[in-house]
Amino acid sequence: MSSSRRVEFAVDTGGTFTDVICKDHQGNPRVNKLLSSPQDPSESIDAGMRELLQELSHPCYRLTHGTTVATNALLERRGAHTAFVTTAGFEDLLELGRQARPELYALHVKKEPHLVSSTDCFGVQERVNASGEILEELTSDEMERLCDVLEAKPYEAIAVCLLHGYLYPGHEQRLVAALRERFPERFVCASSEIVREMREYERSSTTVMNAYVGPVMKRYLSSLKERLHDADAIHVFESSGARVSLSRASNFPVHTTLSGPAGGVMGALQAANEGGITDIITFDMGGTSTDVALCKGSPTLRELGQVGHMPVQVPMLDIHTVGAGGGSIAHVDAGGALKVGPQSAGASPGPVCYQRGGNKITVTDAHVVLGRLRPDHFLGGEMHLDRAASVNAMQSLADGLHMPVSEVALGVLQVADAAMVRAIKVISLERGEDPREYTLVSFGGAGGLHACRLAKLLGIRKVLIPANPGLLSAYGMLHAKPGRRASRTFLVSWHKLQASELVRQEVCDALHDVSSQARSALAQELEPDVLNARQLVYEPVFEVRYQGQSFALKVALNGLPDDEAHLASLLDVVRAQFEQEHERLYGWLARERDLELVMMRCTVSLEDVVSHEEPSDGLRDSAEQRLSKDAIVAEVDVTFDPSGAQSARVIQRDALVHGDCIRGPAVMVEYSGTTVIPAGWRGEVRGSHVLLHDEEGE
Amino acid sequence: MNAIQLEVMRHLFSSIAEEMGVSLMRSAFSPNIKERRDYSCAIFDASGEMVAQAAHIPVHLGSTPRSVEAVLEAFPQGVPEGEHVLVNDPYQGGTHLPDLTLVTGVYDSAGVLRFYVANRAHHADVGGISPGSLPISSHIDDEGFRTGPALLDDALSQKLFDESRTPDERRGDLFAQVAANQRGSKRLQEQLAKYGEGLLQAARDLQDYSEARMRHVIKALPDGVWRGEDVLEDDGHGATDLKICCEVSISGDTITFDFEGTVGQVRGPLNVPGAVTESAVLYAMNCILLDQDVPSNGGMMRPIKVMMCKGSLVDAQYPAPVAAGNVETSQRITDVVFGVLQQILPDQIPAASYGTMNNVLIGGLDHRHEQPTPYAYYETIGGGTGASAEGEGASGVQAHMTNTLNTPVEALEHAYPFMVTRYAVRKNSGGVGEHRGGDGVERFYRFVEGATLTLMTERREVAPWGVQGGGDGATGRNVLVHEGETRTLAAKVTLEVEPGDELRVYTPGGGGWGKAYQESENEP
Repeated sequence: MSSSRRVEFAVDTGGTFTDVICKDHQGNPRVNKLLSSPQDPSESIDAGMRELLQELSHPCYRLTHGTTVATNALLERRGAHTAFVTTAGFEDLLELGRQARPELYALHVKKEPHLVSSTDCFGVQERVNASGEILEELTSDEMERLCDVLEAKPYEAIAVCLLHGYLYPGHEQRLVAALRERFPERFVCASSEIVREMREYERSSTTVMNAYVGPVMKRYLSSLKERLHDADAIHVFESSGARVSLSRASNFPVHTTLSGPAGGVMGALQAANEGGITDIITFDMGGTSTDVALCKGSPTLRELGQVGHMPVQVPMLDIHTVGAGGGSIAHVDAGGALKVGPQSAGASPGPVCYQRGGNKITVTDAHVVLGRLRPDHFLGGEMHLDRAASVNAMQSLADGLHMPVSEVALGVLQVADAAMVRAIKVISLERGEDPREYTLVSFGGAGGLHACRLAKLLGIRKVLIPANPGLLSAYGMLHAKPGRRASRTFLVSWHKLQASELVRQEVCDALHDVSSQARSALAQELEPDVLNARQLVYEPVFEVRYQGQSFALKVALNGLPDDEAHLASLLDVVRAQFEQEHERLYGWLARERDLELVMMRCTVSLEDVVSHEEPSDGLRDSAEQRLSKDAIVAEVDVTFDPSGAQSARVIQRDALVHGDCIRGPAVMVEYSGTTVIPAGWRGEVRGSHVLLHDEEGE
Repeated sequence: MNAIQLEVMRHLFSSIAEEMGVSLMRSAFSPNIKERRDYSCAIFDASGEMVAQAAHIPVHLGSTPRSVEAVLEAFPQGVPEGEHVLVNDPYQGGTHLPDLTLVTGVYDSAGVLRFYVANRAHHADVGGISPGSLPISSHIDDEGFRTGPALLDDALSQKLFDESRTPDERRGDLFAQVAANQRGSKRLQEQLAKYGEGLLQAARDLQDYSEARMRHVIKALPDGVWRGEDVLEDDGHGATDLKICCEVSISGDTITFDFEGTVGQVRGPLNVPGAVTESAVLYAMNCILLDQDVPSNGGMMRPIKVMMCKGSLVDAQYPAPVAAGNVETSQRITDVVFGVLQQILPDQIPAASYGTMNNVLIGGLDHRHEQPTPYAYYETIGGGTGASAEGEGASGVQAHMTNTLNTPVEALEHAYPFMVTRYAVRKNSGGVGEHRGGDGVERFYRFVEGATLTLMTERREVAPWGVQGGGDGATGRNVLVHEGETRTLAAKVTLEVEPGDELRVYTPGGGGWGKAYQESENEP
């Protein structure tokens, strides 16, 4: 097999660090964490990989890259000078948005502008109706007129989104062809190339974002390719958790804009699968924010997200973010409530205990005060934390509240936990899922400090602390699979589907179109030998709703229907599944009401040949007994709850071996994080991961 | 409860109210609820005082509590377990008829009533003399289905379905409302099982907390008495220049809004029940609070007193029609209140915003289906907001008492047999000034089939005012193009349109702030 002869890399570039990870010949992960080179991120990627390649003395390699170049260009508004073209009469689409103001109770209404100013928005005479019929042809004269107008300004990029282009892409296609011919050096894209879904503002926004970051991403990726000219292949990690080719990423960079937190979720899922766990809630708590996501076997996807205040309509992992993290500042407000965040001390000046000038109590300080975060084991002992300073600062907060210091410190954690419990409820209970049936996978700098308490509050009985929690995102990218999705809005009533052979045929044709679109996109990503050797898996999905609703539910079809007769036989099954899901989510049904097919989606991916590592039998029994002596480095006082300080072991994670057993109360330390294990929790080391059980809850 | 529990409980109650909202939005049928989010959900204690609210629509803020109050009056023993009470009568706790409020009692495991959950959703058509149920009425009976607090049973729902032009949609929306309350009840019961009496104490403490926050804000304002007034243009039945007056007096940590001097209730549908007036006041005070995290609850209202004369435009009595009061008069009351507050806080309060919801209602039969299907479309169009010391006004947004989303053009054209031919910012309609007012909106509709059109608009003659020397925003305009001929329509009108006709709505701009310098040089 060609893949075994080369090293597989994944590189995750963030603002501060570039994480490089690969697997050596034995399949063990090798990692390298180095400072990023923001001017040209490819510099540190190159350096980081070369070091590891040298160690492995191996010349051949392949790379999956997670990049924030597009996201940063959007957030910092450093993209290309872009023109927006739409149907005449709708030039102000981007400015009007959905007409709602961002803050309900703001005295002065402020709307953040979109990326393109109104003088760079243009209309073309053409019109298609909601059935996809042309009411007004787009003429060659009109296209020429537009080209002349656009010639007058030095645009680097042009975005085209015409009304009902999701239904009838013909006008968009002709227009971008004309634009590309006239302006071969400009980056041109059409909405129908990116998203075939209804709602003109969201689709326009997505198309404009793609155009705006297009030239930036193209330049970056070509410089990366040049630098890594000896790579067998370079792939880019997308917001949906899949990896794609360089050319796809250059042409459709908008698909990478929410890929940052997606790596962590994929990494968490990979780590869980290695431990034989399939249903997880990921909990990634960093310095300023916390990301949570739910995966039931596979990650949950959604189609609409936001970058800054701008909507982006591409498939992405369904990740919910709240503005609470280790650096969140605690204060008492005018009504006497203890607030944590949204202000954050960040890394600089940082929490009080960092001694970098920060004088506001943060969540991190509360952990230090309570002995949960060990001053001498922070970042492997490289950075010392000043506990006395935290205690002092906490004292003044406590004086104001007339409460003991430890109670206030616990309170800060309780308030932070309440915000995070609420976030997890949003992705579980609100979506009809019971969190108690899931394992919490905790990572990020502050995750382990809160995981067990959160689990307790939510009734979750298992917490997984994956290996290398600080590099989990790169780990996820390393295991990213090629896979492609395509979708199309297709509105038709169930009644028509059942009654008309012709309509069913149309649906079958469209679905096959969608699936072959996804397949050919996937084929471009793969080497022919891989494509031929492995089975492709088609996962078609119908989005269905009661006629008149606007939120549709996804119903998976069991493979592509062969023909209209086959589709006819599936309709009742789909309806039954829809009703089951509707009742589960909303608690009611309208059996007499007609259904409506809204959208068809299809995912194509390679069949999974990797089998999950099953946890070995008997591990639990033997594990009850054992804990490597080397792992226990100290015995200290830690406050877990209002009952006061307890004696707890400090455990060095690096010294743990497969089969070891940890019993709370304990604090497990490692370079990139600390895990607090209260009494009543038992941990077992599985491979390089640690699985914690709540024995009281069992 | 200490500072910590207070914050933990705030999260708990708000997340339950929000979850109710998500459930309602996702499973509702009318574009009004699902696309435009014209609904809100709230939790009340057993005495009927609000504990938490997930509000998208400020006009529901002060008025939903009145619905619960009315329900409690009608059911002094409490709403029976497992039952839901429906109410929309403006004279028994409602606002206007399309807003249906559903109230459900939450019982603990011992069978004791502990909380109420309520949600209010705007139904696109509840009958009445014109589609969309915001008619140019002259009696409340012209406006459609009306019920005081009554148990929701088959007979009551059937009555609603029978009166509505779109019964299927009503059935779906009502289901969604029931499901939302059941979701809220279930969550509260889970928490009652966990915290018991502690949960009730938490609710009381949160109310006290919001009260303290509001008193804190009022205390920072100077003591004194200020006055202001503004007008509504016409009631659709010939009465014009309808004056709304407000006197604000502040003393320590309490504030009083007295609407004495306001005209008496009118024949047309611009009247509002007192609950709407209270909502407008509470909305303005919420803005001044400057902290969106403070739970909207009954405590907030305690230091605020609203005085109205019974039978006046702002506290109308049966059988005055009220269809448009909720959307139009509420905006003007807000203008008046902010106009007075502007005198107290000149550097914070902006000039007037566009001041009307520019209501467009279209109804008829959709012949694109095999069976002609009745439809009712309702939309409010945004405008320009007022400028302030902080900067220019915003263009093409919803202001004050509403914050509904627009219906996407593509979704609209799929759902209804008419098209949008233009949707644009109405350039240069904001008032001039050192900071310009925001611009209004142009939205044009072309009819493919004949339909009944109702417009319910204001600020077509009296412009949104500028402040500190800033100019007024442009007034709005409604135009109909019929067979090539263009004519200006009245601000409030119902008419039959024909295939090929085009309706053009130009919405007002916001007022400017501060004197414009070198104005002449800036003119094109």
